[in-house]
Amino acid sequence: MVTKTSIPEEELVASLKAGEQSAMAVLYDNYSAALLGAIMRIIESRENAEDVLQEVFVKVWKNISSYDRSKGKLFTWLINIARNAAIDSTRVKGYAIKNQIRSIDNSVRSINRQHSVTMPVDHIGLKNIIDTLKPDYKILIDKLYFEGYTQEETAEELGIPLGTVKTRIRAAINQLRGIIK
Amino acid sequence: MTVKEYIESGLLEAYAMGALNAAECAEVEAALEKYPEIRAELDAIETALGSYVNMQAVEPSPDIRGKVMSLINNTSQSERDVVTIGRLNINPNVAQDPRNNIVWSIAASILLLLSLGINIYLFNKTTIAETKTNGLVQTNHKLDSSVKVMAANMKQLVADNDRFRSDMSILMDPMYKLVELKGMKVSPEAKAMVCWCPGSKLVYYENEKMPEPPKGMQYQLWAIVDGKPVDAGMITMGAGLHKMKDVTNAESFAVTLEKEGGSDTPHGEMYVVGNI
Repeated sequence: MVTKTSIPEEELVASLKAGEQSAMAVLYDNYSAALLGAIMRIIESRENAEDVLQEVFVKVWKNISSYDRSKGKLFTWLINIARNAAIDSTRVKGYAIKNQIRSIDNSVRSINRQHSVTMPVDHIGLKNIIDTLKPDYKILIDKLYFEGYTQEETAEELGIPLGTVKTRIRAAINQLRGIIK
Repeated sequence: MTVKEYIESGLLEAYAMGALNAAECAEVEAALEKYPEIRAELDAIETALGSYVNMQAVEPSPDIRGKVMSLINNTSQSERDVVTIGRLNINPNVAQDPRNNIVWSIAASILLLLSLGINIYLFNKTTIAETKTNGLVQTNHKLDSSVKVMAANMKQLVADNDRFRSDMSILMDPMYKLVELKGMKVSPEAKAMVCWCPGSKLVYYENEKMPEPPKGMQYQLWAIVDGKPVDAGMITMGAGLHKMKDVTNAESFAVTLEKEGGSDTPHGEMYVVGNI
């Protein structure tokens, strides 16, 4: 994560936990674009995605006390909140409210598939970097990380064994790490 | 698993991507606490994923920032509520307004009169109350022991509720296969259930309707792999989900009645069985 305002993450978190609104402004400047990009992988309409983004920052503000650095970086926590909020909002919209949570999950996802979310990439240069990622790997990261699929669902969706998903995850992130270096 | 094997298992990547269930997350978090190498690896994975997201960032419309900040301004974090209440009590404008002094004087006089009235009333009551006190002390003793019983019940309820919640989280978890075990000839009414997660190998068992085993005997769970039974642990009769031995592979699950402590291979009658 490239931070635009250089303030150490620990300090930022401490200020947020102390309830400093100015820290929220810093957080917004540093992470809003990344989070909106992630939300738009699930919600295509920019307007709806921006509504969810606002919700996400309010949730962060209210729940920052529950963030625990020992369990992961701030960014990972933020992206989890954004992904869950985005998936929740597609449920609330009543795309498909059925009796079982599982079927809700599946219908939300099939809607995503039908409308196949376009990948928002601002810079041509960066798009080229992403394109060097093996397509098998890219789809795996996208399903698991952006769209919130479980490993089982990803295996089913891609028609590969669960074991392959598990080993491929490591290989995929390794290639990503190589590219980013 | 060694630290190296753990790092190469792909678990950390799945954790960073939010693709693990609660039980697996807890497992990873325990490993993070213990091994700095694992933490360093997770940090690197998170950094890579962060860059990946950044490459696909979308700048929000310019008006969103203001909206967020005003939402934040109107939303208090839990500890900020306390501060606000504190400030309301020491609002200086209220004390400086002379009209408030008159209002306070009248209010104080009324309170004083009320207090006097209540005192006289209470004095009369005291005599009657004293005679009643002895009876009350005895009742109080009774209540005291009732409260102790209730507290114990409450504790039990809380424990039951905790267990119920953790059971529900397993039952609702899509990673788990739910296998219904149905009664055999020896006990056609018998029923049980097995929750098995092939990924984590975890197995939970629930008695739904199993006859009480005779003294010295105990039910034993078996995973059937290639037609052969593999011990999956001894069964206790309490309610709720019971954690059993890990099972890597299974076609079906079965329960037989064995001598207490179990057997290496099933000797007793099969009570329930269910295919996956």
